[in-house]
Amino acid sequence: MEFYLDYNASAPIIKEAREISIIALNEIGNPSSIHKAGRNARYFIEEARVKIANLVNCSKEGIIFTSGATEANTLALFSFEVVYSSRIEHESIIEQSNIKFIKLNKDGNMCLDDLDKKLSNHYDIYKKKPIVSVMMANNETGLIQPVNDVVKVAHKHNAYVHCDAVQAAGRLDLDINKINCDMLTLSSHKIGGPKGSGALIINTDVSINSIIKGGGQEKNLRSGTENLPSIAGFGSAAEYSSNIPLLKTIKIRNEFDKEIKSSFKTASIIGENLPRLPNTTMISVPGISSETLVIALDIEGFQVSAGSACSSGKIGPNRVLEAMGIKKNISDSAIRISLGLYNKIDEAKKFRKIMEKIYQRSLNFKQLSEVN
Amino acid sequence: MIYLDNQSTTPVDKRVLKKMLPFFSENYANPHSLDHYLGRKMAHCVEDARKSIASLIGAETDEIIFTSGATESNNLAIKGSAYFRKKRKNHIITVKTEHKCVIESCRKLELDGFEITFLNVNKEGIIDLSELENAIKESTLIVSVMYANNETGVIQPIKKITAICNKKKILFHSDAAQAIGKININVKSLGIDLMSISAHKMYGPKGVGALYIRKKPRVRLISIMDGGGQEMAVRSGTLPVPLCVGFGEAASICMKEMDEEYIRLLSLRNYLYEKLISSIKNVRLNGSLENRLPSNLNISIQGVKAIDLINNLKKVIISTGSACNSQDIENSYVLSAMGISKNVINSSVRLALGRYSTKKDIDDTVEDFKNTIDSLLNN
Repeated sequence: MEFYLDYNASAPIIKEAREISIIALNEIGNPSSIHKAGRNARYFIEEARVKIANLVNCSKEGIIFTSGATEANTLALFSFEVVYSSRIEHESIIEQSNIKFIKLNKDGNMCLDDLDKKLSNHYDIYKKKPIVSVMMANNETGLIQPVNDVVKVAHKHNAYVHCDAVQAAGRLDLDINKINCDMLTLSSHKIGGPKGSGALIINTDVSINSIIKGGGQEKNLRSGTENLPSIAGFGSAAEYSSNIPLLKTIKIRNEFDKEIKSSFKTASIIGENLPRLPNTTMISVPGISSETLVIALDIEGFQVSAGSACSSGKIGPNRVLEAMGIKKNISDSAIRISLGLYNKIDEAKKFRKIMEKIYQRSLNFKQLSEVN
Repeated sequence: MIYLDNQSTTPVDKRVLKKMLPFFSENYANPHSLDHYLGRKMAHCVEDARKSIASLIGAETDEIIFTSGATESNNLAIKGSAYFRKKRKNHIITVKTEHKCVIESCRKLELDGFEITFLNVNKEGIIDLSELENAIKESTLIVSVMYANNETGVIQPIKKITAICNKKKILFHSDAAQAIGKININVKSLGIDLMSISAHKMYGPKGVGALYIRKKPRVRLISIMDGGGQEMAVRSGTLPVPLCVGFGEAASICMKEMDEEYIRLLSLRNYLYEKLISSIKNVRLNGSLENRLPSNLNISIQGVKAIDLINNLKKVIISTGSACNSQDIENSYVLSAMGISKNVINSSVRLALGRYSTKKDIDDTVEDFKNTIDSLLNN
């Protein structure tokens, strides 16, 4: 049996998205061509734009399709002289060359006092308006950031705000006007759409430059022939994602937490009592390293991850947990469980049994080594 | 409907689509999730596709970087190599008839202090090699010349250009989006350092392309998108597995069928050209016939505006040129650089044949052209 517990890395494509992607793959024209074949192709793009606008309650004119969230995040930030963000953000944010880090508070959230202080001093050094980039929810821990408070502080200091909502889409309310940010990033394949498409949503008069130049598609902000199949599927996934039964997901997630805690006294759950995504839990049972544990679980048919997929396979400390000040013995054993549409509640019990087996085997092995 | 706009985009080959289908359903894992079996399986499929693309152009597998398409590849190749070398060199040579994304990338670099030379082309659409040689200076960091033009299908003398660049140890990049899969291209024997490829111009899906980056010695670039460090840290972002797999299959099919298809298209195209000249008055070919893709015709018909022709054809779908510009019908800068007068440009249309074009399509096309032109000229 296979149990896929890695939805934050990529979600299975939902039926509706798959079907429209395949129909779009059979379209002949280039969406930028003015003839009939081109117009037929363009229809899919504009339909998708409307559906995504509905998901985040923005105007469809504000949606810029990109090749994914990494590109959308880069597009949002690279024009600015200074980006204020924190060390728990996604790699595509923290790798920006213009970044300045805001401290984290004890809960692992962006520290509002530090943000306030840094933004107060901003205009002593720089002339241009800065941008603050804050993720709606963390991809590894699922912890929800105080985005509204960040926006208040940022706007008080005349700074723009970008919100990476990749992991929050389909899992939290995503009304851009309630969030009140200037720009927001979405990814198709995290909400049940195909890989290869994402969007940057521009909700205010914030002005940015394009990274990829050429034919001038997407209001001159993103050139290149539109990714017809992925965009069409992205639209369907966005339409569907407002129907995802979150209460069911949260129940399954809580069951995982409960099962693990009942078996392992030393287990910790990162941010257990803080606001988290309904589908994500990061658990740690000290004694086995994350790398070893994910391999052992994989052999047993459970697909989990030690953290972000981008950095999967790279051995090293977990960057996010380290930034949050989580003790090393806990972060060294942390694994992420992220759930979605197709998980069932009995998987939690099966998972616990496999975990017990793996830890027992490891314990036996250690005792055996000590005897020898 | 007779689709003769295969240089804007090509239909996805049914075999490509079939290969992609499982990746829209059970094969959904993230190819960078090497933590588990499902992720590693996806990574393996991506590598197979990479191998097919590499084989098609005579490259090594680890010389292929996936991108979102040729526009991104061209931006990455030109801006990426320029920014990497900006402390030492600041001069770029390209051609007036390049695709808009090459021109715009160069314009952006110009604003950042780089110096750009845009080479001229002759009336055939081909650059003058001595002009290239004279343009090269100490500070030249890259020469970028497209393999085949998107509007005219005219093929540049790439081998002779790389001979000049290789001798002077200057990077050479080629936008080969229109040429790959249609004509034989071997990056090693041609001495190409960087080359852009697009899937949807060779019967693969839209949304994916590649950049060939020579390995020995490795051509260094600064990435234009940072993040998780995928694609050897040159191009971050989750790879679109279904699209990569489709691209790979499209490359395999081209590799197998290209030689025969070349001959078929060439004879079909020549048949179309001859038939057009014999049945319609005042047809003029734009650009070299000899150095040209086997699938392309770019013609002007005196007294008939291109836009009227395109809009009034009953069955045939064609365009004036680049799909990117076709939203706003502006004058073709490509034809203009070839010294073609405004009047002739306004009458120019591109006919791009493809894998599914048949002899009957050609007969019907000429018929449709003839009737449409007759009625336009009589009104």
